[in-house]
Amino acid sequence: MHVTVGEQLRMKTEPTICVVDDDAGVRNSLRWLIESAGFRVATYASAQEFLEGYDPERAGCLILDVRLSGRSGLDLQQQLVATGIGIPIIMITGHGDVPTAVRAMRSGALDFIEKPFDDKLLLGRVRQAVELDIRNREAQAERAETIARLALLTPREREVLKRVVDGRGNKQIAEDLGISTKTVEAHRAHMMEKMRAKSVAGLVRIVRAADVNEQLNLEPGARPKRGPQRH
Amino acid sequence: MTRRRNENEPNVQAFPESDSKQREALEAARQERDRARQVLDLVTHMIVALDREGRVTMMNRAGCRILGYQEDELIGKDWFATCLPKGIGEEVRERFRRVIAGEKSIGETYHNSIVTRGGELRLIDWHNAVLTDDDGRIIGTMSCGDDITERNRAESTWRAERDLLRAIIDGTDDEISVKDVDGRYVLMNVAEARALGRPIESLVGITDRELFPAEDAQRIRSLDFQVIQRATALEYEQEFPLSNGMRRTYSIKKHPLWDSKGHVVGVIGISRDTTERKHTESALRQSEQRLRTLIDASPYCIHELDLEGRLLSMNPAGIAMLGLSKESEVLGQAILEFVGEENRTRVRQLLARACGGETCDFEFLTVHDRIFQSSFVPIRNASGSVEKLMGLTLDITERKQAEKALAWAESRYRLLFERNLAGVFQSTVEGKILACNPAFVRLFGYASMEDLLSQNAADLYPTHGDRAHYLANLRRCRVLHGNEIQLKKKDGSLIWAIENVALAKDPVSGEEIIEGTLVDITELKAAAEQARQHQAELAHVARVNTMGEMASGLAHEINQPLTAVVNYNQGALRRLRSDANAHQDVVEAIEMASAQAHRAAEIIHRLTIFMQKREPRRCRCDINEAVREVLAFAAPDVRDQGISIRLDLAVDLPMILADCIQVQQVILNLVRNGIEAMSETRAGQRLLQIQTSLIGDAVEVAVRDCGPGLTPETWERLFTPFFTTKPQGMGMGLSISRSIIDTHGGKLWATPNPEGGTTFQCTLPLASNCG
Repeated sequence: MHVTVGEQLRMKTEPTICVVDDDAGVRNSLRWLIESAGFRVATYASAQEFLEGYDPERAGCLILDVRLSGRSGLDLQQQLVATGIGIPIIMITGHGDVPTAVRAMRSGALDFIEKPFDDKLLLGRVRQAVELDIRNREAQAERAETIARLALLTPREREVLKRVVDGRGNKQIAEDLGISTKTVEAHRAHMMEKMRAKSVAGLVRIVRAADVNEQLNLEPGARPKRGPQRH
Repeated sequence: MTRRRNENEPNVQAFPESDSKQREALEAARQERDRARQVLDLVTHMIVALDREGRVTMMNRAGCRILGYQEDELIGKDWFATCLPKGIGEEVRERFRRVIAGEKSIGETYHNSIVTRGGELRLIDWHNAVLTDDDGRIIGTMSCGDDITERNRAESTWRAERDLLRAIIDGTDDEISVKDVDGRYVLMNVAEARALGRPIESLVGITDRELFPAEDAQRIRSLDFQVIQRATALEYEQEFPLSNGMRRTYSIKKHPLWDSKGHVVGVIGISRDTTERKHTESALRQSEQRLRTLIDASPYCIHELDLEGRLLSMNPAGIAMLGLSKESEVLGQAILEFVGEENRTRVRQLLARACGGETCDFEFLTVHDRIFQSSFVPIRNASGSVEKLMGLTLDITERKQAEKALAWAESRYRLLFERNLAGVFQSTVEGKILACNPAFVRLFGYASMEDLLSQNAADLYPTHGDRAHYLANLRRCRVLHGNEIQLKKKDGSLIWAIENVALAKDPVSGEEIIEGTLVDITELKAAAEQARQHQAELAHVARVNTMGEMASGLAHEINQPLTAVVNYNQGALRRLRSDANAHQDVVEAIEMASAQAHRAAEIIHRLTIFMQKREPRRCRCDINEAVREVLAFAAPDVRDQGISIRLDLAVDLPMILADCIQVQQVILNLVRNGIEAMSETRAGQRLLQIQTSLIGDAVEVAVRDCGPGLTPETWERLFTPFFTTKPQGMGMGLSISRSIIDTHGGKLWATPNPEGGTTFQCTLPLASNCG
């Protein structure tokens, strides 16, 4: 078994819990509470401060107060979603009203928790969020690797990969591509090696997990686009 | 005669008779005496001799005749008692006594009345002498009396006539004088003397030359002379200067004075001062002239009518009044021609009465629809019968119209005054109310206007000082607008009024009076006061409202540190739990601190929800849950006041469809009121029961206190906004509660408990019934 990228990441970087609350008391007490559970904590007094100080490389989650002076928590959430920063967010609020909660959850918040917190509830959610983030990050890393490997494939190997993933046999592939079965087998072997896939099942898992249809130009209409790029 | 002689004998015999010579002498004396006696009897005068005692010693024949006695009847009789009238007798006797006694000389002449035997009084003029003897002693008196009775009577008759004539000529204002042929005044009356300015005595015997300037005197004299020469009367007028410098006019008549032989012996002048008459005549002429001018210039129609009602004359104003230009156009016309048809009969009757001697005044409409006012006066001739009518006519059309307009305006103003809702009044500065309208009377609560008018305005003020202050203020400002004053009604209660008042001059008396209007603003003021209170209460509501709005913000503010507290606590606990050496009691303390912080946060949370300003939202509610929520809110009061709560909540109550927060609000209000009601109740007995039950299609909540109960006044106004019995209360709770329950289709009411205290109950329809 080789060490996955995710495992490397987990070992390299300890997850960080980011707290954004303009109330210093709440902010610092949250640090005190969350640190008691063994997490590393970074606190920010405003959305702006967070955006400036946030290290996307680091795993973790964001505890975000809905009501912030300056840019509100909801605004920040929207912005993070829009810029593709997928950090899991736990919204906290003094007293939640239903519309705000609904909005926050629709935008992808992990949870919406009212102050003051039940420590078990909050820390449970934090753990879930960190796990989620780590999984997300692993998936992200695997996909990046998959994409990198895909980039090593020749167009013919890629054609073969696509059809292998689709579950077609060598003969069928040869027919599809108008080449000999033997040639297909050779491409297939190269492809499997380049993709570091030991089995068809493993290949399918890698490709599916990476959600790389785009990179594979699997869409029927995408093919003509590829032609000019090759020339 | 013989007896008389005999009676005289003793006197004669007194002489001594021894001497013959003496006898001869005596004889001679007797003869002499007899001769004297004869003489005495011959004379027509009465002669009487009296002795010292006043007895008659001799009475001659004439005397006897006058007295009606024989001489011997009188000899020896007391003269005074017998022959003098009573009264006079004693007076004369006294006089006689004094003569005899030599105290008084006898008067040469003397007259007095005597009384005859027949009782007739005769006036006798006496010549007296005293008789003496040879030694000169008085032995008696001798008196010779002339009977002047007849003469005296004639004289007094003549004197009376003369005095009468004198009185007549002196009594007339005509000046009468008589001059002799030489021009000397021989007689004049008082009027003449007065006119000449001198006494009569100084005028008799002088001539006109001495009275008048030479020229005038000469003229008079020539006229007198003319009368004497021609022996005829003369009549003429002449002006004379008076001593005071004025000139007067005289009408003079001169007659010749004849003597018995028919010779002219003088001139009688009779002058009459006609100055006044001349003046009168002249004045009369002027007066006539003035009158004529006046009539011609008069703006009134002045006219004369004959007894048939035809015009005899009319002045220019009258002619113009009739719309004509010349008097000739109306002369001879019947006045009825000018009278309107409908008035003719009446005017004819009135003219007839005027002709009968009455003065008639009347108004009538003319043929030209003008209103004339006429006054007809009968004019009588010398014999007293009515000869014609004098008429004075005025065109009063405009005046009538003006009067009508005035009366109309007057009645309008009167009504305005009478019906005015404001009290209108007029009073003297001293406070006598001159006039006021019914509203004024009502304002002060008096039964009638007379009742009020008998009051002094000063009595309408709370104190007399108020009136004085008011007057001083009015005097200074003359006019007071919107003056707010406090006044006293008849029953003594005070009212507030707003007054507009001014000092004015009475148009009739010219005195300073007070005029003004009053409006009772007592209720207005009370309402304003109430509004002011409401304003204050609203301000309070607004503050509470603001507080509510701020509550969520505050709740957040408090929630933040609570959150921090909880976080620190939990953080601390986690650390301690992993520390084997940690003190367990510290851990527990921190756990409890956390719990309390959570509790505080929970309270704030509920409060925030309760205070939230939100649209009413109906949903299915559990009334028992609402009661429990409320008790959580009321917990501090319940604890502080030592209230026992007894909950009697029906199980399995159906849900109601309601705004849960509002229902909680109502229940909380009832609970708080109940707690408040028991503040005076003895500690330990403060029981508040809350019961829920299903009554028909509704759920009922009853909150029962055991306080003292409500006063009647409180019962009456229980649900009135801003009515409160609490010093800090707003008086909105029950009023709002009732409106909430009403909105929910339920009812809120209160009933007194039989054992004391009050139960507030409200019903809320079940969810199924609310659609």
